[in-house]
Amino acid sequence: MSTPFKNVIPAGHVHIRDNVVAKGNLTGISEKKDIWAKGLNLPMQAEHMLFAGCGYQQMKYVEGMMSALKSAGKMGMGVGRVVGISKAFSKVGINLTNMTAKTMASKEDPYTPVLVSSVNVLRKLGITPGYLHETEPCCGSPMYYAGFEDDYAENARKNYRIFKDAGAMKLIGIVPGCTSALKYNYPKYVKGYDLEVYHILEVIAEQLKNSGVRPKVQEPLKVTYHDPCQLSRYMKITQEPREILKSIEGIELVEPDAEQVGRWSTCCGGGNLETSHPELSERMGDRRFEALQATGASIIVTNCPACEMQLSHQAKKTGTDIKVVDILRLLDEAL
Amino acid sequence: MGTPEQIVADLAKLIGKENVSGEIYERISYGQDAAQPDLVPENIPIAVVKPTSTQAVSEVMKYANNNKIPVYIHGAGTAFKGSPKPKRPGSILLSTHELTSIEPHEEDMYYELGAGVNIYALEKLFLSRGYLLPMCIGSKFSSTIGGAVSINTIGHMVDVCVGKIIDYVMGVEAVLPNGEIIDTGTRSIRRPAGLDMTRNFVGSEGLFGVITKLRLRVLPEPKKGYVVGFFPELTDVAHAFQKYYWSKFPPPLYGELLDKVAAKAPFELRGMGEPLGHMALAITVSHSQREADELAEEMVKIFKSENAVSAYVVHDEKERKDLWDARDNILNILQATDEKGGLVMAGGVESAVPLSHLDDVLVHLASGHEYQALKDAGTFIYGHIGTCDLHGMWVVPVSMPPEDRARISKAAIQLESDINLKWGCASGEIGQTASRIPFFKKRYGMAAHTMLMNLKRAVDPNNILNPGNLEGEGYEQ
Amino acid sequence: MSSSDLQHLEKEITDNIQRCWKCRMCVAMCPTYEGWFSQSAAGRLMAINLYIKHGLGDVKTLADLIYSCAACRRCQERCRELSTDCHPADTILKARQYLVRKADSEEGKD
Repeated sequence: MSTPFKNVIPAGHVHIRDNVVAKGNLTGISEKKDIWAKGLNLPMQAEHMLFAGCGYQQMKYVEGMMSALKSAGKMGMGVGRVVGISKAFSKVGINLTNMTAKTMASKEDPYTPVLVSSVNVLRKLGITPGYLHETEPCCGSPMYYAGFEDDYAENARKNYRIFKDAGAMKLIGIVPGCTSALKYNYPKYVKGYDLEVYHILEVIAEQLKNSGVRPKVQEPLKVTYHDPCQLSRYMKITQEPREILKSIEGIELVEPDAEQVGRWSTCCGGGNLETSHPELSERMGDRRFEALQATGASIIVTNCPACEMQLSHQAKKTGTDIKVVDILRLLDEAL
Repeated sequence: MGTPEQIVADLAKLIGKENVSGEIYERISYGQDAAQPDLVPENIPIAVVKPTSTQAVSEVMKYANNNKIPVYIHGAGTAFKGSPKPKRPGSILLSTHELTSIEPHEEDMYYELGAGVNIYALEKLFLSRGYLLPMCIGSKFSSTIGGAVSINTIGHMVDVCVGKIIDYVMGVEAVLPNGEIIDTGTRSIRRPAGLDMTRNFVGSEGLFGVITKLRLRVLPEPKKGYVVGFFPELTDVAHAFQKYYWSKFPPPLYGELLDKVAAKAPFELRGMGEPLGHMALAITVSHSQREADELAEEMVKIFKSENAVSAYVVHDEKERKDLWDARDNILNILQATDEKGGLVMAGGVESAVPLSHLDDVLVHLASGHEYQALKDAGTFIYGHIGTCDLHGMWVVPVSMPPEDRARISKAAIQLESDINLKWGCASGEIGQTASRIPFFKKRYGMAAHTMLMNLKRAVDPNNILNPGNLEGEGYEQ
Repeated sequence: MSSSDLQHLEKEITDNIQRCWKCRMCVAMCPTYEGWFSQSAAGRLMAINLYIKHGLGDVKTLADLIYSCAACRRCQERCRELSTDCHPADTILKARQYLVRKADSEEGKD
């Protein structure tokens, strides 16, 4: 791509942008988008269309590659370099990403089951979502954060046509970053944008209130909630996840200092920053994990694939028993 | 004197390279202060140092003095009147941010604090121990106790109720311009009579030394009553507070004014609707809740007798927080936007006036002056009316060209000087150096200014410590 | 991107930064702050401001600083609550758009 970029824009961001433009997903791996949905019988059209996003589906590859590289002593390698290496190989015709990614993929994959859980939860609460399956595009938000405004705008307009052609009217997003892009950013670049966008937790909180269903867990759990930046400050959703957690019988919610929760929640350093500044991202993860650990909770609950990857890495690194669980999986088991 | 790179290297050897930065963007970040305009390239400091101990501060000052390098001292660099910005090229910016020791001595009723302790953190600490921090500073989330003490300010609180902060500073540890370390004052709650060198550093605006530690006496947190009132005219608010004092009631801890126009944006931000008039807030205090409540009721009575359209004691916790935040976060008033995309402060006045002239000054600030540039800008009037300290702020769209904005800034400085000269007073909050030197000379005469210059030269013969501030460089009229 | 478009973007960014009071309340909020002011919204804004106005520093160091922001908006939340609401996080993202466009417009020039 453009040489001038190489000298200025962090390489990782450039690679991700190239992947989104060329392959329609973050890592450039060619894989069907809807493998996770096998057996769920999601219709291509429905009043509420699920937007799954690349995040949960591809985290296992990213995590696998990164931990393989970290254990090989290459700490300085962020997601950006990882992706860059695979691009170099692709130039000589070897789809290294596909090959290694699949062999190196994290044996534990807590990410794709979140998508399955999201469908289960919606169905249990009376909503039958649809899904665009293979035709689901990438929201492109990493490009926006990296400053590639024109590519982002073009992608947004292209995606809008895809949604409209598929007859979608209401979107339910799961990844906070994607949902915030679809709701708040797309209207800036797409004339006459008329899609209604919700985050799944908004929908769930509403349904729980109206349905009178009482979720509960098998044994009492002390949990703490980590607000993802995109959810708390971009989507401004801080009450709903707490309402959901408080409605689950057996859950005790403990929180860090009031100046570090909700709209003031401290960033864990995962996501876009890891691409360009991996060491800084690691230190931010240390700080946030320490604050969450100090609550004494046995489970950190959150709702963002990047946060989950960062915090589980922290849990593993510090050797504690704390588990990082997505709120949708927790709720799925409790319903 | 060596090159900038050599100086950075020398400083790194002296105090540790993790405490020194010669990086351009770091130097810009520390060199800029909270006043417009932007930092000029020639005056960007050549090094930022963050010494972690008094000894390290001493090493830096010794080095700077031997090599005649100007040193500018920052707490957080948030002063408004132009004093934190370097006035000379080739300077070292010394930040006290790493001097954060906190040593309780509650059995002797004081805390020993590093100059870099954050004011908000200190406020919370004291509250948790049952003490009141006798200052209410708008910038408390970023500013330091050393900075406040070097200006001898208590911000929004009422001097005649709690005194100025010097009344609580039992002693300081300071580094002189030549690097020598001095300890002053006492460890007794009775301070020395006669010569007490604490006074040479507290309130001397960084002219004679760098305060590195201070002993701060604690006082118990009093019981409080909270009063709000909305008035049709600014002069009504003035009359209310005059009446309160002339009735010989004990002074309130806090007495604030926010004009109706200025209150609009902060109210909107908090979903509080339209202000019913010019807002006055007060906190009455006593050792007993009963007396605090009685005084609050008296205040309400007086407000009502001076035309308040609404006045009452505030009981609801959320309402109290909203009202007080609306006033304390004064920068919120700049959130009122115009069609051109945002407002910016072009000029400000701060003056602590005689009690009997509170109303005259309000009229003068609002419309009685002759500066057309100010009349054309948007005017906000607010301030610590309970301590007779009034503010004016003139705001303009951000798109206004810098030359026009500079004209307004100059006019405001002159208006402030006019007010202080006419009514025989001075500013009560943010210090007297830098942009206020022209006024200082007029108010106290050249003999006074020369005396200070002589003292300065005697203590700092190479004029390396915050040079240019006493001279008023950059603010000549 | 034509140079007048770049100039327009420069004006938008520097105008916004004029609304910054340099109150530094964002500094303690920034999760990347590790003791140095440049590691904050205030620091990043001052950097891009003087880069645009006086060409200070170099674009690679500037980009490293601008991209070390996590875009978490904690500073923006604080600025809205306590200060002038100058949108520091959004301005930093705008600065990234500026850096991309600037690099783009220099493509082909050697």
